[in-house]
Amino acid sequence: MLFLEMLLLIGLGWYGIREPLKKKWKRDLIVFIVLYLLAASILVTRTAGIQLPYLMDMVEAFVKGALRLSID
Amino acid sequence: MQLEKGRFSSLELLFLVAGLMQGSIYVSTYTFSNTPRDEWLALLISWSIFLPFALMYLKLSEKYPGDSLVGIHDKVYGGLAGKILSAVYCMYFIISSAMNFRFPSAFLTINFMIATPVIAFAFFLVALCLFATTAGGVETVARLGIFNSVAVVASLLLYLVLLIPKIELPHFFPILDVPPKKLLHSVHIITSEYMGELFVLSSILPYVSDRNLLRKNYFRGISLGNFSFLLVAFLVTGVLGNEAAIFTGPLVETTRLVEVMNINARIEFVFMGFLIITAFYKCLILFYVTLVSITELLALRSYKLFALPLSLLIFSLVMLTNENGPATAAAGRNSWAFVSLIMLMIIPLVTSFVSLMKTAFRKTGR
Repeated sequence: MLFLEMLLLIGLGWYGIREPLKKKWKRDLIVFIVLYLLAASILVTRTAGIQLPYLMDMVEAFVKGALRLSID
Repeated sequence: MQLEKGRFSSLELLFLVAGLMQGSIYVSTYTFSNTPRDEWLALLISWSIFLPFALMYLKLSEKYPGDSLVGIHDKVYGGLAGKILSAVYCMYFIISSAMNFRFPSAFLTINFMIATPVIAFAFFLVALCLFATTAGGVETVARLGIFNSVAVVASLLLYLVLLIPKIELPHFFPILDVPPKKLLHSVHIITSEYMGELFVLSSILPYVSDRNLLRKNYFRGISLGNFSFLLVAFLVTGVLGNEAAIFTGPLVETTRLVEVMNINARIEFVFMGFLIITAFYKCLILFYVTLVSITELLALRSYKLFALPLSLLIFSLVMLTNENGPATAAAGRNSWAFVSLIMLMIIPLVTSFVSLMKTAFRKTGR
């Protein structure tokens, strides 16, 4: 499953990278690679079973801390 | 900076605005737990509080007609501060998109297909949004609103007619017999989460072609969206009364009670189908806005290129939003309401104020 997922991600990434590479859009290429690697790494680590922090837990901790609220 | 040549009419804007608001109908359960009987009152109070904010969003957009949110921040706050604020908004849009993609996926899993994982539905939703934005653009996004809004209102009216035998007017009484804190909580959630999300349309308003009818159709869209919410509140309170507070999905439970010719018709699937479509439409709008905001912020050439990594990022984050459904509901009811209040109401208020001050100083020559 993980192997197939990585193959699919590599294929999609290659498909997406062709246009900025052909047209030599440097900034677009860099941003595409960075964003794509970020997304792919989150997906792959999650599929591999590595526990990642939940978004809303972080948001709640931020809100509680910033506003010093006790919200349940 | 305008990223595409596509334009849409102000009539399509009307349905886009209504569609964005109607996309929150299925999460209106957040407030029924607080005000099962007085939801209609919370909606009317929220509407009256929100109208000046809606006017403020519009005025800000009219003052900078060719600019989206990122452009407005650059002009109001200057280069660096504007970019930092726009980056914060891009983060907010990404997290909001992930939450909104999770809602319909979890809804389908919990209510209809229990054995199917949430990511299966999220995958198709994200893939559809990816296709709609890359193949179509803003014109496609706007065009879908008409079918969406009309279908939702028509189905709500149909259910109203079918549920008339089950509506009991005593369920609405006594009025105002709700703790003020709970009413305030409901008003907070409705104003900041359901209505405040119209602020995201600042990135889409530059693409309206006929600007002379923009204001009228914008407010008509808000009225249509609020009318849909009021219909839902009337239906749920009239049928369930105080019991609406104990259900996870009071609207689903209400529609399950439809009986045609004394037979339980189980036609809630019809309405749930339209709710999913409207939820998808809201996800599509948020996806498009996130995409163009990131593209403008980083001064990139084409937004269509980034639809793929963004959709992958949002798909990954859908799994990381929350542990489970009740945790999502609790987050939406509590912490996210504060984040929305700050991002969608307080900061735009500050932006409008700073913009007004800048104009005033420019006129006096200081």
